Amino acid sequence: MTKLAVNLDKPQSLQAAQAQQLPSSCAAINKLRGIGAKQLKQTVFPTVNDEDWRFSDISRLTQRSWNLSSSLSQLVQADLAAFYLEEASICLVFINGVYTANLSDLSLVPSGIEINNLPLSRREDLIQQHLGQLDEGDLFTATSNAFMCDGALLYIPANLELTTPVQLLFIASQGETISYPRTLVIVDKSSSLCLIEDYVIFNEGDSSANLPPNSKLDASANAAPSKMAYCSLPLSEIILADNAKLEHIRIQREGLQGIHLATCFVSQQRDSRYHSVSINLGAQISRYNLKINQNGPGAECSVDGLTMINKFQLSDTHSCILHEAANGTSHQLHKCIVNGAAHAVFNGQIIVNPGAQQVNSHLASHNLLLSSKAHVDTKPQLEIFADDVKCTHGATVGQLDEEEIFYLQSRGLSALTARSLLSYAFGAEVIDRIGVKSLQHKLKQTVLQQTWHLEPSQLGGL
Amino acid sequence: MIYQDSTIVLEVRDLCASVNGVPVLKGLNLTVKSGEIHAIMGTNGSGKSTFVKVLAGHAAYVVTSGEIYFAGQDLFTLSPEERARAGIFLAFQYPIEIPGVGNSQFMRLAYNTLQASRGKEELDPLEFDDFVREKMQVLEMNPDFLERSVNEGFSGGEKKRNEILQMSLLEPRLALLDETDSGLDIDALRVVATGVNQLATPENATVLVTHYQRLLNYIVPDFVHVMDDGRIIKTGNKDLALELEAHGYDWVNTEAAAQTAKVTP
Repeated sequence: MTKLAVNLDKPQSLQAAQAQQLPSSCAAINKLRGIGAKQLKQTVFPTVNDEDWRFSDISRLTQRSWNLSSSLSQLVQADLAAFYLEEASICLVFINGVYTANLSDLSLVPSGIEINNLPLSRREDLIQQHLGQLDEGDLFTATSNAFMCDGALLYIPANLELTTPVQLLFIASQGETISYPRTLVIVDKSSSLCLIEDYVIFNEGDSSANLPPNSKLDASANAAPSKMAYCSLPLSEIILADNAKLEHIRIQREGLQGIHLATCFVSQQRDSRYHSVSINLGAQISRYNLKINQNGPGAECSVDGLTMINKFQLSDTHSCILHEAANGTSHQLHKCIVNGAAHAVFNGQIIVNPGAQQVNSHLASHNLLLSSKAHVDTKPQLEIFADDVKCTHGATVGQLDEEEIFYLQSRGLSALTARSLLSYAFGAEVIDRIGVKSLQHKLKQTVLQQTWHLEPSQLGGL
Repeated sequence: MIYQDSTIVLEVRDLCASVNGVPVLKGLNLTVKSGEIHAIMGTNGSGKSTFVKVLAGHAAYVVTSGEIYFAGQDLFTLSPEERARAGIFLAFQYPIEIPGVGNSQFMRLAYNTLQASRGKEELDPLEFDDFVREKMQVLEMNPDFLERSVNEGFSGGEKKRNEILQMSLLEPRLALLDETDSGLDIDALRVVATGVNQLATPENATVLVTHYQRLLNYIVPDFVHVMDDGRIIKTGNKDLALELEAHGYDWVNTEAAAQTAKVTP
């Protein structure tokens, strides 16, 4: 296969490259690619003139092309030691979008549960039924469909609780490439799962760039300060059947020259529970579109997010929670810590359709600006078409509270330490909601480095 | 307790202070010696809480004139954290919640900061854990509070106990209790008062700001001061609090007004 390059703003280049792909061994994937090819013809590259993108200028993306395929990865397990989580004994590793069996561990998948690379799965019935059913065909999902190769499939049959968290590790390892991480999750009736999606960088071309995630060498950066430019277009589809439960942890710590444009669709049936915590730290430009559709009554979701960015990063989170059925609840807390000349965007839409009575919904957006050039745009957007609901929202943007600083000073802490501690706490509140202890600890260290303006020895063992 | 020849901990002379340009304290005088417990009572808006916040160094309260000496040192030269390190502790009327920071971590950070400033030994997490659990027993606090975020989701009574717990860890020379009794039921009040009484030594001093005489059944003050319009207008012993409870504040105000009239005919 010849090396092909695509420009995301030139549909012809995408269509031409799409037509030259070798067919997949999986019929459902080939079918999806066909759908994606059709969608590509109807999509255009978004600009700030589109309502959905008006705060996020991604025109920088139009000036360049990306290679569609990468050469084989030479990574070994030892390279990834910093990324594996001790709690997650089940792990699927994808390098530049390609499933890598020798770095993955599926040995502890219980029988009956299907966790596999999607094209290798024998459950084609599930794939046919669910893959590509939720998307809305914008440019990035269309591209993901049109070029789909590998992906994670997780299926938990009815009445089963998988107690081990499952980690999906998506590694970008080569510059100039574009990849399409893909995830399909089906949690059947009364079952439960804890899923960790982790997007990281490991530069194979320049091993000196691979500082450990918590290196003290560049405490101002949240992610690896790699110069490797690449593009990642992840797409996740999550189906929760009646009374199913999913803990969904999503960590985006791409390289600082990376582009990360992700979408996640969640479909919730009766009494299902979806709890998500998403942490956005990396990438030069990142966007996370989260669409939750509560189709069944009594569904519950809590959606927590933390964006912590610096320098010239742009990070945009667009969420939409659609209440289609009665007695649903949704709670959303989104926080941004913005430093340097970075720009954070949050748009939290909640739609309560007619018939979705007795819905209880709360949306909070809190933003902390740590520098004079930091910039945030936040927009809670409630659209309520039912008359017997309880919906509240609130947004704050600002600096730290002087009363809180005084409280800490009155306990002997210096004003600087007080500010550091409160900035840290601002982020740690969201990280506390991650139930996987080792990950929680690592992320808290990352937040500490970003917010603490003292010597590391003065961290006081937090 | 009043001790003969005890040293002066706090000396306040003609203190005037304002908030947002509005004068609140208008010539307040007070002397507190070590070993003593002082209660400051008064109606809403009389300036009680402002006074203790000025002592702790809150930036929103601007001192316009007067002097304050703490253990002989000019208090106005010290920042809030330097006052805390020198031994002033303010138990807040409304303690701040800090989600995301563990109570134990926070208290250890404060404890070690003060220990370091006093040239004393700092404690590692394990040592501190033993130390703080011992203190919690006195306050009948569940050790679970160590693992929770600072004051987050605590009830009013739990927050006040947490304040007294911090006070017991930081061992202040001068403890300022701002309405620590308000919002407490009798059981919580008894526990908090026991804590305060146990911490009182001949070397330190306590200033209680309160609305209610009830607290003084549990913590017996050596002096009771009545504040009105930014000044202390009457000082007595614990019986004054009972009189206030029985007759209200009006008679004190009337008496003070009459005295003022006599002095300036």
